[in-house]
Amino acid sequence: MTEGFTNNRGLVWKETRQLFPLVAALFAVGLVLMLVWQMSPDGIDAMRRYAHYIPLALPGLFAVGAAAMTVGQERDQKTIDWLTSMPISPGRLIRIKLIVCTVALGVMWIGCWALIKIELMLGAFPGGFRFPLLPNLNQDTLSTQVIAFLSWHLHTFYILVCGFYTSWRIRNSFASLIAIIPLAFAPFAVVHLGESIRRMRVGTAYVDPLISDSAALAVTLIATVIVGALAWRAAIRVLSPAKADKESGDAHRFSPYAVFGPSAETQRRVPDQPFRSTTLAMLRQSFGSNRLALWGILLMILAGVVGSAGGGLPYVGSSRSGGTVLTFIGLFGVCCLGVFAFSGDGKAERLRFFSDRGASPAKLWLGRHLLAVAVLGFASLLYLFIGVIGQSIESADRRYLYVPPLIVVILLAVYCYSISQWVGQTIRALSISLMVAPAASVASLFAAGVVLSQGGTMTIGTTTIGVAIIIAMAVLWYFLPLVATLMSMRTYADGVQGRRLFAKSVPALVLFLAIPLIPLTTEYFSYPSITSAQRRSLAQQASKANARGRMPSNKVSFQTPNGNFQLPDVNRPVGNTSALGYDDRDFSAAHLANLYADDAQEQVAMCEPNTLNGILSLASFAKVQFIQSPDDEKALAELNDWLDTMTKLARRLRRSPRVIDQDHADAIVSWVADLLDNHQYQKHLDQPAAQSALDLVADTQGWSDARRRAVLVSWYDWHENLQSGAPADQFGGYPINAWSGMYRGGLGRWLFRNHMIDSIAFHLLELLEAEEQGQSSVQQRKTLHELVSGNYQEFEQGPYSDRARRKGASQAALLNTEIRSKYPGAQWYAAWEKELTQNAITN
Amino acid sequence: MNHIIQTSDLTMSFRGCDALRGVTLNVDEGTVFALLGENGAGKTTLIRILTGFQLPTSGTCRIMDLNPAKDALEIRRRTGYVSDAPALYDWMGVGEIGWFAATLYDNQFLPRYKESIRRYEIPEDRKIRHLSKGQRAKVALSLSLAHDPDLLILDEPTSGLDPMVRRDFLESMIDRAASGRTVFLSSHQISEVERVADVIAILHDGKVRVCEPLDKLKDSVTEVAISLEDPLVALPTLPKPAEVLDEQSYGRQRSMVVRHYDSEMHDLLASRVGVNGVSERALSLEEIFIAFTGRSQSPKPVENAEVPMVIEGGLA
Repeated sequence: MTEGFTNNRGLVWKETRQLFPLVAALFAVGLVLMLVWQMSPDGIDAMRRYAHYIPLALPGLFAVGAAAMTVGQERDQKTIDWLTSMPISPGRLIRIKLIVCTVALGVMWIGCWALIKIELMLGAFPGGFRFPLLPNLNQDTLSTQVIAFLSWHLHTFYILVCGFYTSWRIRNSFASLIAIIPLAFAPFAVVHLGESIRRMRVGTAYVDPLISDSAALAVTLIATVIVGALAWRAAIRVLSPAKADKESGDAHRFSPYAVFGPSAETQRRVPDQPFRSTTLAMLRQSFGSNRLALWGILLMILAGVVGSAGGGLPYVGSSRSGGTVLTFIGLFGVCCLGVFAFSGDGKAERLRFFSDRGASPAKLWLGRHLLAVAVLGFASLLYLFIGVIGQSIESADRRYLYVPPLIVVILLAVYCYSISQWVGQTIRALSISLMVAPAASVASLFAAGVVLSQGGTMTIGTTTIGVAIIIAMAVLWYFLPLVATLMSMRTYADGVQGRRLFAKSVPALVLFLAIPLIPLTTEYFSYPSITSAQRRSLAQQASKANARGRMPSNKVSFQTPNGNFQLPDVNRPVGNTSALGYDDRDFSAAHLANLYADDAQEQVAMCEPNTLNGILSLASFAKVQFIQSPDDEKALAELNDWLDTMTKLARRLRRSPRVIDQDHADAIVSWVADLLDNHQYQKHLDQPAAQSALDLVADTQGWSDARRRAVLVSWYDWHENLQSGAPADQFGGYPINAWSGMYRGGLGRWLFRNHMIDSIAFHLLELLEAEEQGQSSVQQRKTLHELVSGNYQEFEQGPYSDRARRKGASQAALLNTEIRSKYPGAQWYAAWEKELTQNAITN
Repeated sequence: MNHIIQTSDLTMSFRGCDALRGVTLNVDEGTVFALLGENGAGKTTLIRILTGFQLPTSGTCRIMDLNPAKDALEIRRRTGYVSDAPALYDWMGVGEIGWFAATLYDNQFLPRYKESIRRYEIPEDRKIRHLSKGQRAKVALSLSLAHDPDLLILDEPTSGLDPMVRRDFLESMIDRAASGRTVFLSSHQISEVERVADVIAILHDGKVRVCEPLDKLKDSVTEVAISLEDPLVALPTLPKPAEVLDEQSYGRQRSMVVRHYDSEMHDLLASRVGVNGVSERALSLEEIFIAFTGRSQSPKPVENAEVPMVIEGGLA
């Protein structure tokens, strides 16, 4: 074995080195895609979920490209001729190539599992990892897990073998890569065919998904053996001495003439007159060679057109997933068309024929894109035609399918083409460029959307950048890849490759990356952040506030495990929990009060919005019962119990270090004040509960201090959590992800989150300061509105506006769970509070 | 002397084209054998058959007593081959490609390769893609020679080499032949081949027109210049084994390239009525090559010399 390895170490090294760029490119692209998706805004969770499966795609993509790198590229560059002039048997060469690729596929799988492990650690798969795209998605038993595992791994190996077959069988690399696609889907087609036959015979009886998975696995295994044998045969034929008749047949084997046209013996007619235009000559050249690849691309685009526009039509069907797959195949075809522009006859050495004869770079560039213009134009017309036909056909299925507008389709297709032709011109290895082109199209499109959304949403409606500039930048960014290839055409046609060619693209690449970042950057610098000095001051105050010590706290929480109505579940220290049903007639304020009866007066309470809502509902219920029966002693007693409880709860909430509890306390005080103001209750003001409540309402002095302290400690806690690595998703009890100003992806959050929290804390303190001094707080509220709501709502219509702080409106806002739990300090010093304060001073 | 290469009646047909039409060759051990022929004559096809890359349509071929179709591996182990456009792995370094090839040969391969590269003054750490055309040719030659093959097959080996290196290389071929190795080369550089080749074969239109030792070939072909009193004077048919390879008229001057020409033929021509004088001149290999392969003068039997005669300005 050692001798065998020693003899083969050169070959193993060579194959490994040839595969390395593909492995590196795939991992790089995969990581970029994962990163981009991780940055996506919250609104597209579904896409995020798909992004978690990106690692799974890497071995599959590697399997597609491996044979092209180790066989197709060698045949293209004729290095295989030099290699076979040395004493290497064909069998040995084929075996080593296959073994190295299989080992590399194993490495890709190990890398894939490492990435999935990282994702698992980051909580990407809350229910545990499961393989997608299998009938049995549960994978909850060992046998289903094993079959799922084997299915995925075997299928990638099958694709690898298919790649070997097409690479040995078809001399043209491009065509051999495209030919993998139908072969890769062949086992699924066989399984579906078998399923259709079974249904025709026995009807739609239930089949255990485990059996379906096992059948697919068996079919894939058989297909692997068959295609493997064909690949071996094709390889041996290529590496064996060529026969005279075989060689002559090779040249015409894949010619369309061989199938559709006259016999290969017929001489191709040469036009009498030469092309008078270089561009037309290049167009003729574009489809004159590599016809098999071109046919493949056309078929894929056609499939995409039918998949996206023809759903629900007769003979097409209405499978949504099928349509999606076809659409993606179509877009992949467009990407192939882009790469095609600078491969084959578009290679530098071929274009040199024209450039040496005086064709300008612009003409060369135009000539290489004319074919794409024709193909995409034809596809657009077909899309339009199918759309028109679809309008005239009544189909129930069609009403539920989304058919994108033609302009969207054209924009998307041109964009994918544009990026792909740039990739095709820059990356020399065809198999890598074919892998990178679709990934780069998706990643750049998505990244731009994500990055633009960080700043664009904030700025489009304002004068920060302006709509016109945003649109101009978008247009420039959209066409930049085409401009980039035009600018580097002279260098490319001169045969310059590698780093020197890439260097010509660097300015365009920088611009391409920079344009989407401009809105984000603009917003970053115009964001209402606080200065370093203000932050230092804030930190000092927060440290002092925190150093005053914290009192033991109870958290009043609310549990609704099954969506049933349930009311307060008071989580006291561990082991002392009581849960009560809403319809439990024994429940009353007394329970809540009694639960706190043994608590020290100085104890702190923290309450979640839903819990407070429940408490307010029950208390209001008692109030309504009393108002309906003012003479009912029992109703009065119940109401007094609630009043007493609410008073105690409000006092404890005031001591809470969370900002949200201050708003909860405000809501309770508002409720208490409303009750005390009720004329039917006026005659009971001498009751102890009412006296205590009157004291609560009159005690407005400490509110500001409590709020200030809550803001400072909340800010302190936020930064403590950040440093300790705890989830920083709440500020002062407010879930920050609910704020419109926080509708950002990972990048936006990373950039703006801390600035936002700092600024909110600072402006809440400023608001308190201004109101205490009797000044207007409108400026602070405007800033708070911008920070919390973004520009999704006008200030005048928002919760921080004067309109929302009028008497009546503000009380309603306090009792509204959504508003109370979303906008910190929106009702501080609102009209009702000022009135109470005034009354307290008067009394 | 043993024949290291033996071919018998090799034919090779492609669609609509007969590349070889009955090629029979015997190459002796320890010689420098040069295969000459114009473009499309079938040289590369013949070499591909000899190296086991191509099966002939008919005929037999043996290299070192081995069948290229069946024993290609052994033949490749014992031969060195450089094609007309060797495609090396351009991402490899000069040293790397030597190391890579060395894993397929014996232990002496790498030292010999390194020595050769050093002699050609090519940096080992330079990538193949950064080499000039001539440097690539040197690397390819070094790779084909490093295992000291019994038979070296070269297809246009000096293409791209500078004159100094070309001279060194060709002289090294003489040394190889002197040490009992055989060199089989095809080339367009006839003047250089003339300096080193022991045996010359001229391939024309898929057939071997001539295959002889160089000195014998040069001795056997003579240019005869005849001065005539009148352009219409008919010349006598030269007796066998004479073969007129080329014949041209310039007014009263007539020129013939004749193979196997001797003094009796001189007398025959000189004694002809209307012939003012006859002179002979030895030809260079290039002139011999042109005489054998010239398209305008298709070779014809000596007895047809009187009809039809090509005369400048029209047919006589």
